[in-house]
Amino acid sequence: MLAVLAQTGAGALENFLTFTVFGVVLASVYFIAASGLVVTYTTTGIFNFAHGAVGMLGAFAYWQLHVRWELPALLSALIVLGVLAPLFGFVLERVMRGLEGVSTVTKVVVSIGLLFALIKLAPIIWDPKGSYSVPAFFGTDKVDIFGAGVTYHQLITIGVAAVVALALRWILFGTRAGVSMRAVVDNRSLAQLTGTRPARVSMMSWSLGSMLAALSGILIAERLGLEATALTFLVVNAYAAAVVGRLSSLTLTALGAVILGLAQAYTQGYLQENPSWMPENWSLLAIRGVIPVLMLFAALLLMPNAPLRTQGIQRSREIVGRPTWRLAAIGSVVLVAITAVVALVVSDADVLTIGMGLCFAIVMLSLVPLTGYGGQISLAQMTFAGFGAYAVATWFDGSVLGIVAAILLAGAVGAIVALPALRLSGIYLALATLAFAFFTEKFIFNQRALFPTTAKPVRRLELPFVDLSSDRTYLVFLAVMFVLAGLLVVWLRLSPFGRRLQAMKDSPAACATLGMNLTRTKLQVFALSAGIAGFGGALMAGLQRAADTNQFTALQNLPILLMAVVGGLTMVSGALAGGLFLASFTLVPRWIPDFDVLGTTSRALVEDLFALLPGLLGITLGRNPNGAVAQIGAALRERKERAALDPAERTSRLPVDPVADLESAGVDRPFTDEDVELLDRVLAIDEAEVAAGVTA
Amino acid sequence: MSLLDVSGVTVRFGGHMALHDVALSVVPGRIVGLIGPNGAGKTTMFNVITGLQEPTTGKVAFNGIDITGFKPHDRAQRGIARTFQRLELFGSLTVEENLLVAGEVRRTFGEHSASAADRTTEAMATVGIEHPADIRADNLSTGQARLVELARALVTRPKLLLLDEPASGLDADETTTFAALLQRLVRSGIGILLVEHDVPLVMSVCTHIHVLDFGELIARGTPDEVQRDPRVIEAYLGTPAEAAS
Repeated sequence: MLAVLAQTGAGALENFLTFTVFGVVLASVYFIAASGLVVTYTTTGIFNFAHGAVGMLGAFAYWQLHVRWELPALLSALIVLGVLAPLFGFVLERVMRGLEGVSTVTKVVVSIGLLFALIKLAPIIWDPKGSYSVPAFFGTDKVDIFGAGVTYHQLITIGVAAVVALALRWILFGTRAGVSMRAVVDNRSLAQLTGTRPARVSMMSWSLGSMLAALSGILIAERLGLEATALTFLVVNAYAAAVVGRLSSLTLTALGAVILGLAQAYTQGYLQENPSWMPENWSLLAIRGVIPVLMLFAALLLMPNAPLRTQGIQRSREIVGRPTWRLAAIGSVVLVAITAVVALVVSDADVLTIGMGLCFAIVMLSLVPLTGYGGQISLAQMTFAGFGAYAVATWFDGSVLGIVAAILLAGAVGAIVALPALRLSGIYLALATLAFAFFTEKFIFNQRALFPTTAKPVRRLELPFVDLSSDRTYLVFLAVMFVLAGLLVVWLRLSPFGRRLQAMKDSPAACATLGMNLTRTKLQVFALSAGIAGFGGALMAGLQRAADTNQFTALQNLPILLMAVVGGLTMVSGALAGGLFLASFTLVPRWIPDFDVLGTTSRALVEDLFALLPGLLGITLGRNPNGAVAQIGAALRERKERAALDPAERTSRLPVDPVADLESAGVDRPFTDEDVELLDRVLAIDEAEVAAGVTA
Repeated sequence: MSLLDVSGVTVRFGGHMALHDVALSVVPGRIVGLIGPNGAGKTTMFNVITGLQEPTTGKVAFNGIDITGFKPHDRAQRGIARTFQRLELFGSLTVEENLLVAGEVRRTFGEHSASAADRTTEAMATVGIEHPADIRADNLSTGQARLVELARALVTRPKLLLLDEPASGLDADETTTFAALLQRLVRSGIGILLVEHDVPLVMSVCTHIHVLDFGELIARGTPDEVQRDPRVIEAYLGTPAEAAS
């Protein structure tokens, strides 16, 4: 920096000041966004991945009021911040309230679902073809501070951040509401006993969080313009600042925001040309966009180890069924047979779409051991698939070795990404993987040296006895590949490694005190999972005869996770269902008859609905964390069990009555159907007999 | 030489002193008791010994090796096993699988002479839980679950066993059986550190007892000495009549 100053003389100082002011303005916005994240996370235990999406919605609402309806700027801002954002906070609280007692995975998925729904909703309301710009407060007037021109908008932004910082400090430490908020963080049920109402407290914190998100959205919209994805993912920058504050300290969060804002401003200001030492077709300029991601990883490396907490036997609402070889074999044969028939009858375009569905299913399958069994989360599976696609496009020209290379490359990348976050708790792994997905999109997949254009041609796999050049044959081949990968996952579940994963999910503390190296186990499953995703990516590239970077963007990871969870992450069949659901969102609108309705076309309406669907389904998961396939299975079993009990079955099957689960029922929670069933079994009561009026 | 030597351990949570300058030791082939009222710091001491809680100051030595900075899994590999007061079974696995998982952990130091399956069968027979092997662990009653946790710890063939209130949830008959089981276990040469509220049980099986109160070690000695200690009577046992019962 000093060298630069010396060279260019007088103008340099002015430049430096301009960059610094710019950096402080960015820092102010990041701080406002990050403080909202920290407030909701500390008071509700839910890390809101949709925080940026709320900010985006706030910015659009402000545009609607101020630009479209021409209300005064201040009034528009007040309506958004004082009315709309708190209302949205109430809605959020309603959605999130159902999430007590579910795993981190489900919590992450619900907020990712919200993010995805909002990001798809905005272009439906505000046509993305239109032009949206938000004027700065007080136009472009500038004041001169030491020779650097500072706009009033910038001054206001900095001032607002300072006010937010002071106000938050006062609210959290100086008011009764704030004290309750902090009490709820420490111990929810204890706070309840002493008369605090957690529901009201979390309502307040969601409103406050939404207001802060909307505020940051409005302030930054002047610079970024209104583009749903860009605004939404601005929140990644806020994550980085919040992680510096370890998701709990507002002071450190402010420090993180300042470092981040300045680092970004200086790299944008001074890094104008690609340095000469970079090899040809590699660009360092793109680093300007990934500074927050780099900082996030640096902050993760500096985090202390998460302590292992004892928690008692987990009666988690997520149930993992045990697969059997018989069912797996039947399923395999049925899948291949049906695919073979389908491949013969559907149209060319549909063959490709269904093939994509099977490829998605393989990528989702990679989440079954990782998330379903091991309880770890990844938001970068499609990115790993992208590495697999890159490998087959680059090496071994259509030979089986290309597929092997894809699996190994994706697995190795996965292991490297996971390493910094594995020793930390689940939420940080989710953050690290999402950040990595961005890093890859903005800094790796867009390097000309790797992908000369956005897509790179791929030669389809050549096998000795089968000719895969026809799309229809390749579709059946994909089904066979899914079956092979699925059987591997089933075998894994039944093997000691599968048991170990399950144990790790149930009680990390017990695993460690039995001598299990948790970091190593997590690393193994993460690399394996990334490898399966890479396999899926390689097959996908083969199907399309191209590795297309547009399919491996950060955003693409979200529907994969959402639909996998909707299908059911604990079962191979769930991954298959998830992949086919996702493909059906492209397939079904194609089959809908096209006619005019409500000023648009029926097909456009259905397409809009399906765009929202992964998000909406994700949001509902709080109520049914086990996924669709498990739900259907449970319904079938229930019907069987409703039949009258065999008298021989009417004795308690357990040597000791299962009192543990019943003693709390009806006291601190309402009776559920399962409780009634358990009670019946223990007492050997037959519901059918009771209904018929027969007594023993 | 003693198996476990804890010296000068202090644990501070913010302004609260959970343990203050506590020392204790366990020798092979003996049951040592650790008693005290609720909140006295007994479970915190277990967490310090197993590595789940880093002490603010102090030292933990096992077999003469300073293991204070070691990871929990490394300590377990060296032969420390424990049960949990609030039960940490793997709820979604069956009883048998709970034990198998423990048995299948590869040893860093040497190898087991028996297979995981054999050790599982043996441990189930030792604690007497052959029956519920196929039941999911989250369906067990508290008493059963405690026995399964003990069996799971035994599968790793520990040298030192830390038991956190293993007899709570057992009835009088079961407690007698359990006392005999503990005696049988230590005869094989392992050392046991026992945290337990059932005072008669502690007095009958332990050769040595440490008493904690508000994080301070207020007494140590044989059951007789501890029972007569006025500070113990005041802090924990209530009236002498109650202690004798």
